[in-house]
Formats: sequence, C-alpha cells, structure tokens
Amino acid sequence: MSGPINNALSGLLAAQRGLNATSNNIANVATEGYSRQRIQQVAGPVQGTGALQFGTGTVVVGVERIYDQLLANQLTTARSSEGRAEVSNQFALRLESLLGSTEAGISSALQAFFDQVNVVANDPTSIVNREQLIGEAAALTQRFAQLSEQLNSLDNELNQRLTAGAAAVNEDLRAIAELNFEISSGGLNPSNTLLDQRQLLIDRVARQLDVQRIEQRDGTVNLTTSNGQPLVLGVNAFEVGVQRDEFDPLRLQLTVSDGTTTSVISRQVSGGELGGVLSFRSDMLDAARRDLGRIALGVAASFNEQNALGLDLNGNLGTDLFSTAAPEVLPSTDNAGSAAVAASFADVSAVEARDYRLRFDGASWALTDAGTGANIPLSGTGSGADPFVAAGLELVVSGSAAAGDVYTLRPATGAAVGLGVALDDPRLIAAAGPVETADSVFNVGNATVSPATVSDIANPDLLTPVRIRFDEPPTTYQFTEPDGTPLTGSLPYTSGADISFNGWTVQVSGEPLGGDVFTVGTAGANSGGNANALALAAQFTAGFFESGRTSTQDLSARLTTTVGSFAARSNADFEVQAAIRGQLELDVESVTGVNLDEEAANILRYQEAYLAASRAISVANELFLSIINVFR
Amino acid sequence: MRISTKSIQMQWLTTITQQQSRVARLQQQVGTGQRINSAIDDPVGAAQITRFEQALARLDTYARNADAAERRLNLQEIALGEVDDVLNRVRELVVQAGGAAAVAPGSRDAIADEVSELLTGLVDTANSQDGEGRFLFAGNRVETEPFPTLGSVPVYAGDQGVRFQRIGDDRLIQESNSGDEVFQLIRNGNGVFSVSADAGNTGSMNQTTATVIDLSAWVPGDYTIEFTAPNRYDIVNSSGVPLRVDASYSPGALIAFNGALISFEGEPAAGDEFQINASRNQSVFATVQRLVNTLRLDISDPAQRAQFQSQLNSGLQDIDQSLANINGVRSDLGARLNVIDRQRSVNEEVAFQIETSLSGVQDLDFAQAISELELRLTSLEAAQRSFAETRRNSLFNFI
Repeated sequence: MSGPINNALSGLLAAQRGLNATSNNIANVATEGYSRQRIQQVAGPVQGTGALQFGTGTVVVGVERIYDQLLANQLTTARSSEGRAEVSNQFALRLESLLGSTEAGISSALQAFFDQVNVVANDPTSIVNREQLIGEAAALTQRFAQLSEQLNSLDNELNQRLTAGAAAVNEDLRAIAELNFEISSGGLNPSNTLLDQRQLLIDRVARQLDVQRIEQRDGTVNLTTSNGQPLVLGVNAFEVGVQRDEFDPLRLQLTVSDGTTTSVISRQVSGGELGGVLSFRSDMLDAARRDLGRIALGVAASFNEQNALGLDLNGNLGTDLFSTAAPEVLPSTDNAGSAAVAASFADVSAVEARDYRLRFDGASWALTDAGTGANIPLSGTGSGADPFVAAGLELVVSGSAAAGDVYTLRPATGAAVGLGVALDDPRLIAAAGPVETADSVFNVGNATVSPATVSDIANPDLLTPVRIRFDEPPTTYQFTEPDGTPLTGSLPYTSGADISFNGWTVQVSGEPLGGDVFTVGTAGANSGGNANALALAAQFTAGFFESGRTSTQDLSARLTTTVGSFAARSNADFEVQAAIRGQLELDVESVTGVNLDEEAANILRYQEAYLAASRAISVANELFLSIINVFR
Repeated sequence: MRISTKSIQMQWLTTITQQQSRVARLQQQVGTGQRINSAIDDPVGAAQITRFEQALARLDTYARNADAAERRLNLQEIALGEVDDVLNRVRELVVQAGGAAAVAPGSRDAIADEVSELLTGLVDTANSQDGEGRFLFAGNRVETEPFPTLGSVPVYAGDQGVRFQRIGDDRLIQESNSGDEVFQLIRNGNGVFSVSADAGNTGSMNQTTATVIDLSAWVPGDYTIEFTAPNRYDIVNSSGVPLRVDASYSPGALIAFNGALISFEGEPAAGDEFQINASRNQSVFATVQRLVNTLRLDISDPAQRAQFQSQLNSGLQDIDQSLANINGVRSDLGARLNVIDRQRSVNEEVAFQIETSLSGVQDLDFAQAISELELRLTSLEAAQRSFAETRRNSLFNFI
C-alpha cells in the first residue's frame, strides 16, 4: 500500500508547496520590486519494468522567479531618463515663475524705470521727478539683486540635491555590493528575493544617475556610469560624493572615489535626477544668470554713456547713474603659478552672454569659449599698458603663471547683483543737451543758427561760450569770445555748411549781415532742456548689443522667451519620459506582476489537488484497514 | 496580454492624474479667461504676448507724452490768444489817437495810460507759467522769469532752447517756443526796413506808408533822405555814399529807391531828414512802450505833430509785425496740436490692432474650453467608476 500512499503524499506536498508559492504571491501583491514566483513541478521517477512501470508521484524541483531581464534593463534606463526630465522640469518651472513672466521678471522693472526717464523728459527741472527716477533706478537694481539672489538660492538647492543624491546613491551602491556578495555565495540557486531586492536598488540608483549594468558569471552585477567609470565592481562599492568646483567655490560637482583617487564625474552624468540637476544648472540656470547680468550691463552702460552726453542741473556734463561690477575672474584651485588676472570692460556692447577660459600653456595665453571650446583671438600683450582685448574685455596678467594654469572669466554672471546706483543727487541726472545756440536779437541779416550737435564730448572747451561773428562783407566769419576777442582768423562762410569748434557742430543758414552774431555755449545750470532726457528714454529700445542690433528691451524679452520655451520643452520631455517609463513598467509588470485572479485560480487548483491527494491517502488507508480486518 | 493587479491600479492612477491635471489647467484657463497662463501653455504665443505688451507699454508712454505736450501747447495758445487781443486793443487805441488833431491832449494821456497798463498785462502774459510753475516762454530756462521788468522795457532772461516730446516711434513734437522767438525776434517797420523822422526836423512832413515794391532790388542797409530844400532831396547810405543827389520833390509825391516805396504828407523844411533803416529786431514790449512814449509827446506845433504822426505810423507797422509774428506762432501751435491729435489716433489705431492680436493669441475660446472641461470631467468620472467596478470584480468574491 505504500505506492499509492507515497504518490498521494507527494501530490499533497506539491499542492502544499503550490499553495505556499501562491499565498506568497498574494501576500506580496503590493510589494515593490517583487517578482511573482511559481513552483516548478515535475513527475516523479518511474518504478518497475516492462509494461508495469508506475510513476512515483510528483516532485517540486524549484521555485521559479518569473522575470525578463531585458525588459527590466529597458525600464532601468527609462527611470534614468524620467528622473532627469522630472528634475529638469521641476526646476525649469521654478525658473519660469521667476523670470518667465513680464510682471515678475525684469521687464516690468525696466519698463517702470524708463517710464520715469520719460517723466523727467516731460518736466526736466522737477526735482521730484528726478528723485523718483533715482528711486526707480534703485528699485531696478533691487529687482536685479532679488532675481539674482533667487537664482543663487536655486543654485544652492541644486547643491543640496547633489549632496543628498550622492548620499542616497552611496547607500544603495553599498547595499548592491552586499547583495552581490550574498547572491554569489548562494551558489547556483540565488535567492529570488535577493535578486528582486538588487534589481530594486539598481532601479533606485538609476533614478538618481544613469548607470550601465554588466552581469558577471558568479551572479554579481557590476555598475558603471554611462561612460564606464565603475560604481560597483563585484562586492566592492565606490564612493560617490561632492566636492567644490575647481573655479567656483560656491558650486558643487559630483565625484566618485575608489578610496584613493577621486575624480569629477559631473560631465559624464547625463541621466537620472542628478543628471537633471547638472544639466539644468549648466544649460539653463547659468545661461539665465548670464542673460540677466548682460541686461544689467546693457542698461547701465547705455544709460551711463548717454548721461555723459548731457548736462545736469548744475551745468556740468553728466556722470554715471549706475555702477557695475567688474567681470569675475576665477582661478582654478589646481593652478600652480602665482599669476593674477585682472579683467575690466573695454566695450560693454561687445560683451556676450558667455563664459571663457584663459589658459597658459607655458609660453603664451589663450582664450577659449567655456561652452563651446572655440578659440577666441586675443589682441595685445596682457600688460597693463597693452592689455589683452577680446569679447569686450580687457585682461591684464601679472605675476608668473605655470603651464596649465586656467582662469574662468565670467563677464556677465555677477553683473545683476553687482548693479548699483552711483548717484544720490537728483540734480546730477543729465536731462539737457550740453550745448545751446542762439541768434542775437541785434542781428540785422536773416541768417539763423541750427541747434548744436556734439561731435567730441571730451573736448575740454565744449561748454565754453563762443560767438560766431560775421565780418563786413559777410562772406567770412570769426570765432570770438563773448567779449568779442577773436579766437580765430576769418573763415569763409557757406550757408548751411557745418561749422565746428570746441567739439560741437552747428550750421548757419541764410544771409547774415556784417556784425551779425550767433552764440554757441552751454545751456548752463538749471536748464529745462530735455534733449538728452529724450535720448536717455530711447536707450531702452535703442540697439546696443550685437553691433547695435539688440536693445536691452529685446534682451529682456528674449530672456522671458528662452526661459518659457525651456520650461515648455522640459515639460513636454517629462511627459514623454514618464509615459515611456509607465509603458515599460506595465510591460515588466505583465511578466512579473501578481494577478490576484490568477492566484485565486491557483488556490482553487492546489486546493483541489490537495483534497484529491488526501482522498487518495484515505482510500489507501481504508483498503489497508479492510485487509487488517480480514485477519482479525 | 497578462495584466497584473498592480498594473490595473497603476493605469487607473495614471489616467486619473492626467485627467485631473488637464481639468485643473482648463479650470485655470476658464478662471482667468486666458488661453496662455504661462509660457508652458504655448511658448511661441507667450513670446508674442511679451512683444505685444512691450509695444502697448510704449504706446502708453507716447500717450502720456502727447497729453503733456498738448497741455503745454494749449497753455501757450491761451497766452498768445490773450497777447493777440491786447495787441489788437493797442492798435485800436493807436488808430484812435491818430486822428491827432481831433484828440485832445488829455484824452491822449488817457490812451497812453491805458496802453501802458496793457503793456504791463502783456509782460505778465509773457511770464506765464504752466501747472508745475515752469515759465512757458523762457526757452529752456524754465525756472527763470523770462521778462523781468527791471527798467521800463523787459530784457529777455531765457534762452532760445526748445523742447520736444516723443509722441510716436518716429515722431517728436516741439512743445515750446522761446520767448525770444515769440516776443523778441520781430523785425520792425515793414519787416525789411523802417522809416523814422529825424528828431530835429522843423517841417510839417511826416511819412505815412513804407512798403517794399521790389525785394530783389532792396540792398540791406541804412539810408538817409536829406531835404536840401523843401522841393529838393538827396539819398545817402550809411557810408555817406549818395544814391540820389538833388532830386526834385513835390508835396504828396512818393519817394522810391532800391525797391522801397515811401509816401509822405506835409511839407518838409530844408535840413529835414528821414532815416530809412534795414529792419531790426524789436520786441513786442519795446514796440508798445515806444507807442506809449509817442502818445505822451507834446504836439503843439506842426513839426512836433509831424514827428508824432511819423512815430505813430511806424509804430502801427511795428504792431502789425508783432501781430503777424504772434499769429504765426499761434498757427504753428495749432498745427502741432493737430499733429498730436493725428498721432494720437494713429497710436490708438495701432494699440487697437495690437490688442486685437494680443487677444487673438491670449484669449480663451470659452465655448470650446467649457465643452472640453465638461468632457474631461465626464471622462474623469467614468474612469473613477470603472475602477470601482474592476475592483468589485474579483475571483476571490466567488470562493
């Protein structure tokens, strides 16, 4: 009777194991990373010979983890892409809310400032108007500073994300290495749970940074960055960390270390949340900061240059309303030499929203674009008397540099926060044109003099009053002092021709008579003229950058647009990446996920098998007892 | 395809989240009435909106400038209208006093007093200020009283600067005229030359009219008509060079030379002289003040009467010159006010077009948005219902 009993018993046990696997599946229906399992059941070996061969029941040979590694790898990659897109999008939206709208960004503050310039042009001698203009200038610099501050705090947040991300990755890398150890020591039958756990951890790492996975024969898995920098080798985990940027101490870079050497991997990381942080920082945040700085430089330079061409209420030529910060020069911490590089602006209108690297190769200095690496020709020798000139900058190099020393130049980055108001006296805004002309009321001829244009603002005698007096016969004229002392000999007169002196140019038209006098001189203090105020107000829309093709208003609109379209693009990218990840997750789930209906059916199946096996045992038992009873 | 239990939940969750975010966006659009609430909604449209808003802000500025310029031009127009009235009144009074014989000395004094009063008013008007206390006719020295009355005739303290305002992309409008231009740079006489009787004349002759009949023949300069006898005269220029020697003259005859034509009345005495001077600038105030002085002249003998009449006649010409100048400026002001009006309607037209384009880009199609919102809400509800159905539908319910 042992045959049937043993057979039934093996079926009973198999059903029990089947129920075990099924209930485990049911219990883990919500477990993250769990792959469903099923028993691998085969028929028992045959006993007997010839025609009388009987099976010996059933054997459960293993518990199978149902899994598709190729699909899982695709999902891992998709998680990296989604992580990058999500973080990038998250920060792009923040940036968009800072700079992307006309109200919140810089545009409205610029508009308010130039509106007030216009108000000064409407009533140039009003001290209140001028005070308000200085107030608007201060408000504008504050807006620049605030935005700059907010961009800095974004940068800080990115640093924190890098630090926290690196810490999380480290923990996971160590756990993966440990799992590698346990899995490899499990021999040929690694635990399904450990495999699930390791996959889950790899996915978590991939969510932070893009990794490549290399399967080893012993069941371990090696992880590297996408360009091959190892992160986990067998049972050893490398240390991912952060360190200060070579140039900018306020900025962190991602590193990996094997305990002895540490290398920066920021450039190699292109996926995952950390990749998103890094790409947002270099593609968008830095660019936005440079653009904002360039607007600040443009406003300051165009306004200051025009203000210098006018006359303030004290009767002097205007001075700077805005002060700006010098271009930033950041030496590399790896520099071996002791050279110092001083940068200043040679021509703000030629400044571009770019960063540069100045490199010494042991013999000469070379300037490259930090973004593209393109070489930028330097003129000059770099000395104080003959500085290097390139990209609107002047560079003076002093001290001795070692070969390989590098400096980063950031002309625009710090300009937004560096913008200040240099005037506090409202009378010093130069609203009036510097030189005025007048026909003498005693003139008898019918000639008239045009308004003056300034051809040389630097002429020291520009504001000195001068008379143009016609000789008898009035075919010639002389420049004289107001008291009539001649300054020049007689010059031939042509009606309407340019008459230039002391840096100004006028035209006298018509028929003067001998003795007729025209005066040219400064408008003097308290002039209500607004010729320069009109020119100041026009600076907002006047071409300044890019050979006079781009105004500061254009730049501010461009910044809004750039930030907005980046946000829109990153938003669309995130949606696509999330959809791809979602689809792959469904695909993976369709292989590995638990379906409760299926498990319910399995329960019924195993239950029936169990009941039937039990019944077989009880029948065998009854038969055995009936035989016993015969002999009793 | 095999679907895991978790997938069903995940898919449901994804669907619901998507629907909800779409609904939220539609609700924001309906709430603000704007299709584009941030650049993410439509980056190209958002860039257009930025440009449109900048253009509208610029037009706003032009509108404010136009208002300011218009205010000032109107104030000048009012002031110059008053000057016109005053000068016409002066002219009337002078004409009235011109019937010299008929007007008694006492009433001439009264007329002189009135003209003198009018002069004071004229200076006050020339010193008009705008609402902010800036002088209208001081050129760019808007804080300096342009015509301080230190002596009897004010001396201009302003300059010849003029101010412009920007009222369009390529349109500047002149919003001021200097006091020099309005009140001072006025040629006396007939604008080419003036005639005056020498103070030492003893005859009863005075000039009546002085006109230019041929401007091309006129040689700018100063000339003297000297009567060597009641019927003989010479004309010499300022260098003493004679143009005409011992010409004959009969009372009532016209004297013409160098394109100038001068008529006289009365009889000259030997030694009488008349000066013909190229026109000089003479301010409105000087013109009126000279008339006051003339009106106060003693005219008891014929020579004095002749002098009085000569001065009166040239004074009338001066007044006419002043009136012509003032009215010339006034018509300029009017033309500029018209330019402002035209520019304003151009600006408004442009602004309207920009606003139309702006609303085309920015505004929401409510009908479409609301019907889409309803559709989304319905499908959201359907998704929720279907999940509940799916959940109820489990094999475990049957075992």
